[in-house]
Amino acid sequence: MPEQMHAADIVGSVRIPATLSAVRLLCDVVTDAAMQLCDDAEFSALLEIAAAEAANNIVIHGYCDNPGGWIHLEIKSTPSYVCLILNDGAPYFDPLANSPAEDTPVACTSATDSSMGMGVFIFKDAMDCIRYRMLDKGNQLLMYKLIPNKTVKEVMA
Amino acid sequence: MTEYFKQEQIGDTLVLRLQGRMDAQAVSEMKEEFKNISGKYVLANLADVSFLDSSALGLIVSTLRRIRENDGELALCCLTPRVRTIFELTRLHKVFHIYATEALALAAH
Repeated sequence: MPEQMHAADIVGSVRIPATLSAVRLLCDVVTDAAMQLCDDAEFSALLEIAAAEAANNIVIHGYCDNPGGWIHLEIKSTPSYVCLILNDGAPYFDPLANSPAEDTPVACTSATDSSMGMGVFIFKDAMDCIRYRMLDKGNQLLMYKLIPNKTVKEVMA
Repeated sequence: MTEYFKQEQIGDTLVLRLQGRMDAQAVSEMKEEFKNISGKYVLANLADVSFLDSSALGLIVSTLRRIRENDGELALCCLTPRVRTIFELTRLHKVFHIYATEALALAAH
């Protein structure tokens, strides 16, 4: 999936301050884009929860709740898949580095409240592919999801 | 009382009617009040919840643990398809008793 991003259209973007309250604005953009792409409540819910958890992680663990931070979301799509691209200016922070194993039920993690374990588990499970990149100044998280009724075979064709 | 939930005692069941967007911001505002919830049998009605994130799930799970430690039970009812998706994603639908309607949940107790 990542190799084919050059052919993707931008279907939404927003820049928000890195605060928990502003994450709602980011989620609104994601759900609007999801509705444009596919009339599927589950698809929309999974994109929204992935975006929310990833952004919450950036606010809480990337910026450590320090004021002045920002998060930029860009949503790209092809006919087969959508990619949520989250850029931020926080210190280098790879949310995938210490994430729980994929088959670990959330109830078995040590997560309570908004601990990173549960959030990372959720966005990894909600999406089909996640990539992290260090930028010159900040971080980039790319989260890919197949649009329902498309197969991996179609995407790779 | 926050804007995020209302309480009603029906028989020996405490019914919590949660509403709105239950995200990290909401949880930070309602967490302290939620700690005061107690009872042998508590039912959380999620009919009017539009979204839940890990913060809200953590709050609900920690409340479940606290109530079970006192030999009680926290059940859920009226999950919308979007909210059910999140419970299934996190496998938490296997942890809770979940009912389609509030009436069914009250009758089951």
